[in-house]
Amino acid sequence: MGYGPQQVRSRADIRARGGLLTAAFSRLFQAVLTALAASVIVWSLLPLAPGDVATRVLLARGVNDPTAAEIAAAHDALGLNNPLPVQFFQWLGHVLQGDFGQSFTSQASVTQEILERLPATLMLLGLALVFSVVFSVILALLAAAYQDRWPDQLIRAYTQIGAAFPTFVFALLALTFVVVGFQMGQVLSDVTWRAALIPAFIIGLDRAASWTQLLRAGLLQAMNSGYAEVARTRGASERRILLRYALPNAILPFLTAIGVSVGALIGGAPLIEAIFTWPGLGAYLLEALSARNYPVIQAYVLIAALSYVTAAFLVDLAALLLDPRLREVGK
Amino acid sequence: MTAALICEDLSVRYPGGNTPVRNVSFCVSAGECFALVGGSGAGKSSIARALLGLHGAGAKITGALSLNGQDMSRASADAWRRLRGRGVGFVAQNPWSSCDPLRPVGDHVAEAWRCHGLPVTWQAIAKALTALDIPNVGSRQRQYPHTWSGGMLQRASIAAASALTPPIVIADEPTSALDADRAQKVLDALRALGCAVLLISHDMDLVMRNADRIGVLYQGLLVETDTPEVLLKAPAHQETRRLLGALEPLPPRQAPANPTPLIRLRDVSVAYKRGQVQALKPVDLEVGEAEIVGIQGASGSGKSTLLRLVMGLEAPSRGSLWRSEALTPRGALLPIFQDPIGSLVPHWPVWRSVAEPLLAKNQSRRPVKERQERALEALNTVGLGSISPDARPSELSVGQCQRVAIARATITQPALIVADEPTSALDSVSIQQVSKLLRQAAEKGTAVLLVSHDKGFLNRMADRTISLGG
Amino acid sequence: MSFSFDLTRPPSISQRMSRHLLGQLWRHKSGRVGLILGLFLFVFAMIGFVWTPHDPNVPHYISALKAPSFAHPFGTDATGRDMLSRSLDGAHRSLGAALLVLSAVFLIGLLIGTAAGVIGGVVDMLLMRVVDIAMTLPGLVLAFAVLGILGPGFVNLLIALIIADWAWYARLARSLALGARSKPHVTAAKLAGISQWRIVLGHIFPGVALQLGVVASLALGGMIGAISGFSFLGLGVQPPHAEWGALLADSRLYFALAPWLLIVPAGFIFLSVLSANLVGNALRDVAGQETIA
Repeated sequence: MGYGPQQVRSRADIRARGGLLTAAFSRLFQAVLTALAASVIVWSLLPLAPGDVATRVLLARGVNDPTAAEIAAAHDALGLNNPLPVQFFQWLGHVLQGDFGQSFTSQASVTQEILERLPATLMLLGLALVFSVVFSVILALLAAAYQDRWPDQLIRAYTQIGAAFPTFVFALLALTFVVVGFQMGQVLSDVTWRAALIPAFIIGLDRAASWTQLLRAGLLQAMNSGYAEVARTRGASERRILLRYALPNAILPFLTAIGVSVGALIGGAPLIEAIFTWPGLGAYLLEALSARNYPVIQAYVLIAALSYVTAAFLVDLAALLLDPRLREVGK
Repeated sequence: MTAALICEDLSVRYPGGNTPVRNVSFCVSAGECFALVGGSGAGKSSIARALLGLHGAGAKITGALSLNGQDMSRASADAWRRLRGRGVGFVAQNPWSSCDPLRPVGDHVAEAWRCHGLPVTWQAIAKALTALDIPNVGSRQRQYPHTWSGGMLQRASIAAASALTPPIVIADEPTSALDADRAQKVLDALRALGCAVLLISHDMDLVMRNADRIGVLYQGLLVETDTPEVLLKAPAHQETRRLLGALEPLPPRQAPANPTPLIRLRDVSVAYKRGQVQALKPVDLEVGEAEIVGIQGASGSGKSTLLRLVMGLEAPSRGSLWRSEALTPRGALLPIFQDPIGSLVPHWPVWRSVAEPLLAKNQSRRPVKERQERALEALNTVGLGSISPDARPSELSVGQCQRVAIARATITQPALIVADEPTSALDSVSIQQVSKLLRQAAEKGTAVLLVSHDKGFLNRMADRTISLGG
Repeated sequence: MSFSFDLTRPPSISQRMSRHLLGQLWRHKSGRVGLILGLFLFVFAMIGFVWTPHDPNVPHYISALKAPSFAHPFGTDATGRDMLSRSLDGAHRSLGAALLVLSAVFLIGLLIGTAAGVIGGVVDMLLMRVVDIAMTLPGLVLAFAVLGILGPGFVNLLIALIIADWAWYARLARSLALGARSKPHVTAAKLAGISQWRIVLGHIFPGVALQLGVVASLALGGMIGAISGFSFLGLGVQPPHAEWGALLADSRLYFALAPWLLIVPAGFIFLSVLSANLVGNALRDVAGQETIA
């Protein structure tokens, strides 16, 4: 966003760029550390779980009444006699190769089963995320532009009500009274973008309520800030102040909130998928929870953690690009 | 000479009945520097906002207002918008918060043109900045506001405010975030523009030196208007006299002769990171009983490190530090800080903060009632007998908070008070009060170690001043 | 000389602050609405704890799926149980659980976070590493993982939610305590010779507790939603016990036939979250004025 001819890069510019790269790498390093810590928790689910793992694995393989010798052999084969740190790194090695082990119930490869269901979840959550971001940005801009006039009051009423509905309650109501009531689509759905549209819209509408509140507050704060006030005294129009000054400044905390909300979205997936009977990872997790199918639970939790870490990392990067103050070395 | 601004019978009324400006009339001639002075709540900022058409939809403006011969009394919002920047410029108080932190300084200046849809070249920006004495404009204008110094950024703001050569520039406390030298430089830059300047300030010293004429505001009324010379000689209104009181010299003081030393630093220096970072260059310092000693230094000169040494919160890397017996007991050395509000416990009534030193481990236990009475006495001596001792710091002004802090620091009559930039957050009237109170403490036998960037303040206050080399 | 306070016995800080805060909440427009709504729900839950018009758990097949009437103001469910009784009985589980979990994470976070911030050094480092690890997973996902180990159940759900959330509060409390510790008023107290305990209890703790309490109150609505959501999935309150989320799960198949089975529990959840949000937002406004200065 320069003006005039590009100038020869000064030392300060080069330092600033170096600062950006250094900062980005330090954020990446933090993200990897976080992912590693998460994997420790995920792995520890198995040793923490009640019951003997080897017996569960044998049962899963169809050995219904394992003898003591068989169990001992399985212990050896699974490396359960090794010290715990060794077990962890063995497990991590397998996971890094994409191997989550065998399902306790179906005896199939967990990785295989996950890959079959992952696209459905990504589709629904991704679409819901897009909907909620689009809704909240548009509504917040409208509310801020018409502060205290009827569009703002309407939007504020929506955000108050929307924020007071947990997503699943809102989804149940919308499903019962709007979708089924007006026969707007099949509820028992195949996994297609078309089918994902209505559930994603409903989730997006609910999530957007609290995000709109957040972004609206940020926009109004920025519009009352010193720099906006000074821009007004230079003759800037309200529109220019909203779009050029308030939006970039308010979007930063908004992005951070979205990063955190991605975690909530993933955590809420089982509930959402149960309501829309959506055959994704969440439904798979619920099955696994009732069957105590630990490899599946581990795989789900690790995938959720990784998506969360990735989202947080992307938000961090975006913030680095937007805010020069974060690029200072040593901060 | 034509008038750049004529303001007749101006009143600003808010829906709740609050009327911050009442029947104010004044005019500013072309090229003149007219100053509006007054305490907080006098209506200075409300006038500035009204003169920019930014009083908000709720406020009702009555009276006549004319800018450069153009009648703006009934101007539409759009007419005001077109006028701002072109017909009237504005410089705000804090240079950093008046710049969008996400954009380079050059962009901030370019906005002056862009807001009106005018084309702008980087040469024009460079020219505007160079005219205000900013070096290396080429690379500097691509840097971000937070990396600039306050004085330079404020001059960039002046460049932006005057970019479209408005006949009048309104400057609302343009120097209160700056120290004295930089403040004068900023005002010189403002005057050099050649246009009329409406200067709004509480700093009488600055105003007396720079304004052609001064208007004194008191509770929304313009009570007196005249040239600085006349005001100084014959102030008519009590408010003018109160404001001018800040310029009065402090009563003469006899520095104690050969005082018993309290603390002595010989060739003391502090370094961090195995000597790589020199936080404090070698310094000699001696403070004796009932003395007022000043330490002057710019930011980064090691002032705060030196203070931490004296307070015993840090140890010297080299050199020797000696304390007298009088300083050994806890509570013999009490501090006063730069941030008056933060130096009081936010959820305590002020009397409790004042009486806190009485609870020290080595003090004999006193009942609550006695502590409250002592606190009230201390509040009385700092001239705060009229406030409720039950008030929270958030209900007091910054100046009052600092006086509460002084009451706390003097309640046990310690051997030494260490004051870290005690006046930099205060207006000139409060500075005067704080100065007098610190002098009083010294008269009662408490030594005062004063740290400040402000040479003038230290010269007035201290028996002797040590300068920390930059 | 006039005093605006009682010289003989000044009220304690916590007393006067709560009085102050409640009064200010009441004067806050939406805060008052939230308080009234919350009080109503609280009374409702207390009544349900001791008395219900019908037995909430015993089926009565003859009167199955009855629409709201005088005998059953909220209708009956598929096994003929009175919905008013079940709503009353479920209220203390939904609301009580949310309050219990939040109070627990608030207290754990406050104690651990303040301790880490005040003690510093090795203790701080160790505590914060534990917190870091606990925070690597999104709260709900961690709750699922813990439920995977413990198995479904109401008590297990509460434990899972506490494990999922405490670290956030500890982290926040620590940064608040660190912020308070570096304030000039703490340095002044130290130099005056005030004891460490007095400084922690008088200067640091009340401010941290207040600000952390505001955050916790803002989280109450989400917690009510989370508990009913987990119960909806069958991971929380187990049948035949009533809970608002579980009520929704029980009757899912009949919503089209008997919409009151959806509207009644959904309405209670909505009103509770609304009340919590209103009070939380008002508290943030009020406490913001009080302490941020």
